[in-house]
Amino acid sequence: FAKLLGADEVDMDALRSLAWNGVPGPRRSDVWRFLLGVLAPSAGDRAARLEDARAAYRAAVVAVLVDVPASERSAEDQQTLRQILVDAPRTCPGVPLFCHDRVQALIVNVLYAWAVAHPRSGYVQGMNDLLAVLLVVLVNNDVPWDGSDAQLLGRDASALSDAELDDVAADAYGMLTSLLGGLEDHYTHRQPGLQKTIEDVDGLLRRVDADLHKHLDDVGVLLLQVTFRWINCLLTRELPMKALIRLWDTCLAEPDGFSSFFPYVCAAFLCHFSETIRNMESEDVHLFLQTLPTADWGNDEIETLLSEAYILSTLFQNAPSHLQHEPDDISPFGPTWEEAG
Amino acid sequence: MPIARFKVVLLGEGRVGKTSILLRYVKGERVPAYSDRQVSTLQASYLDKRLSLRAGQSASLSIWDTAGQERFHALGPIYYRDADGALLVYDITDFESFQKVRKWVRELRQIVGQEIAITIAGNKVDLESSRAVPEAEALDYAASVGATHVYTSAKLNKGLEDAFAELSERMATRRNETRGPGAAGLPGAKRSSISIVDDPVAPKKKDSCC
Repeated sequence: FAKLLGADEVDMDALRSLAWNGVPGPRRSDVWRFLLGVLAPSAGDRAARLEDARAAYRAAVVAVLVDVPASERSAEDQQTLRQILVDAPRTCPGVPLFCHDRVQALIVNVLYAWAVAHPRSGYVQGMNDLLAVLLVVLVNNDVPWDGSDAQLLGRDASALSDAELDDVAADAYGMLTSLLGGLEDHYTHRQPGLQKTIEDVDGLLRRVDADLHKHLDDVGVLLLQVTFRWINCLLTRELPMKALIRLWDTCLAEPDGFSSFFPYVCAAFLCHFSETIRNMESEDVHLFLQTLPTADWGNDEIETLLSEAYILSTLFQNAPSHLQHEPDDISPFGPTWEEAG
Repeated sequence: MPIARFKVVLLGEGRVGKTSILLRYVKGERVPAYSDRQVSTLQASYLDKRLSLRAGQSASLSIWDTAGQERFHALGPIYYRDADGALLVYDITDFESFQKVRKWVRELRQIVGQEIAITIAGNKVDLESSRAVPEAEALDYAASVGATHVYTSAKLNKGLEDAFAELSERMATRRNETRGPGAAGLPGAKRSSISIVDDPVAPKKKDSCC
C-alpha cells in the first residue's frame, strides 16, 4: 500500500485489487478516500482539488443551513431537518465518539447539506448509519487498528481541533456523496434500487439454496422483510464495526460494489444461517434475523463470507438471466407494493 | 383451549416512541434501563407477546413495529393488510405527530376496512407539562373514528399493559363476531373479509389530502 499510495499517479486498478483483500487500519482513511474519489489519483493536483472540495462543502453548509433562517426554509426542508435532528442523536446511541456535541453538529450538517443537494431521494433514515462508518474510518486514520471496536468508537473527538473536524466533515460529505451516488435509486420513492437488489438476492437464493428459499416461502417470510434493512443500511446494523468495515473494504474496492456485488454478499450472508433458519417457524425466523449472532464476528468470518459471495458472483455473473424472475414468479413484494394513501 | 393469534401493527410518526413502547411492553423490566435514544426502525421489526384474555383464553400477539419515516410507507400494507389491530402512537408534546394519526386512520380504513381494531396512544405522558395536543381534541377524534384512546409512557412503563390488553379484548370480540366462537383459535387463520370494504363512510380515493 505504501508504494501504491506514494506513486505520482496512483494506479487505481492495482489499488482496487489490493484493497479487495482488506486494507490495513491506518491506511484505510486514505484508501477509502481514493476509492470514493475524494482524493485524486494524480499527486500533482491532489492537494488543490481536496482543498477546493472542502471549501465547496463549507460554502454549501453556510448556504443551506447557516444563511437560511428557519422561517425561509420550505416545508419540505423543514421536515428533512427535523428528521435529521431526530436521528443524529440516534446514530450509534451511546457510542462516545458520536455523543460529542461537535460530532452531533457535524452529522446534522453533512446529512442536511447532502439531502438538500439531492432532492430526488432526500434524507432517508439509515443514511446516518452509513455516515457513522465513514466517520469512524476518518477519525481513526492515525491509530493502529489492533484494538477492539470500543477503542475505535471511543475516540475522543475533543482532541480534534475545529479545523481538523471541518476537514473530516468535508471529506465525509464527499465520501457519502460518492457512496450514495451509485445507490440513489435505493432511496427514491418506493426504493426501486433496493427492490431490485432484493429480487437479485431472491433469484440467487432460489438457485444456491432452494431448500432455504422454499422454507421461507412455506412459513410466509418475505425476503423483503428480512433483507430490507441489510440493503438500506448496507449491513451496518447487522455487524460489529470492525467486521463491517472489513466488509466495506471489499465492496468499495469492487467497481459499483454496493450494487453489483452486494446481492451476492446478502445471499451468502443469508445462506450462512440456512440450517438454523430452516428449523424455525415464521415468528422465530423474524426474531432471529433481527438480532443475528454476529457480535463476535471478525475478519475471519467476513473473509469466509466474502469468498462465498465471490464464488457466487463467478458462478452467476456471466449468466445475466440468473437474476431475472421466471414468468410465474411471484414478486417478493406481493400485490400490495402500492401507494396506500 | 387453543391460543388465539392476533396480528398487531404499530404505526406513527418517527420518534414518537413506538419501539420503546413495544420493547417495554414485551420485555418489561427485563429492559435494563429505558433508553431515550433508540436507533431508528427501518421498515419494520417484529416481536411477539403472550397474554391472557378475560374469558380465560390465551392470546398470542404478533406485533410489527413499523418505521416512522414517510419514505418507508409504500411498504406499509404488507404489515397491516391482514392485521387484526393497530396501535397508532403520537407524542403528546408534538401536534404534528397527532395529525399523522389521522392520516393513518384514513389509510387503515381505506385499505383494511372497518374491522381492524384501533387504539390511539398518546405517548410520553411523563412530559405532560409540555403537552401540545389538547386532550379534548384527541379524545373526540378517537371517539369519532371508533377508536379507543389511551395514554402511555414507555419511559415510566405506564399504560402499556392496559393498552394492549384492551386492544386484545376488542380483537377477540371482533373475531368471535365475524367467525363465530371456536374459529378464533385457528393458528395462522386469516380473516377473509379484507375485500368487503363497502362501508359508505369509508373514505374514497378522492379524499387525497395525504
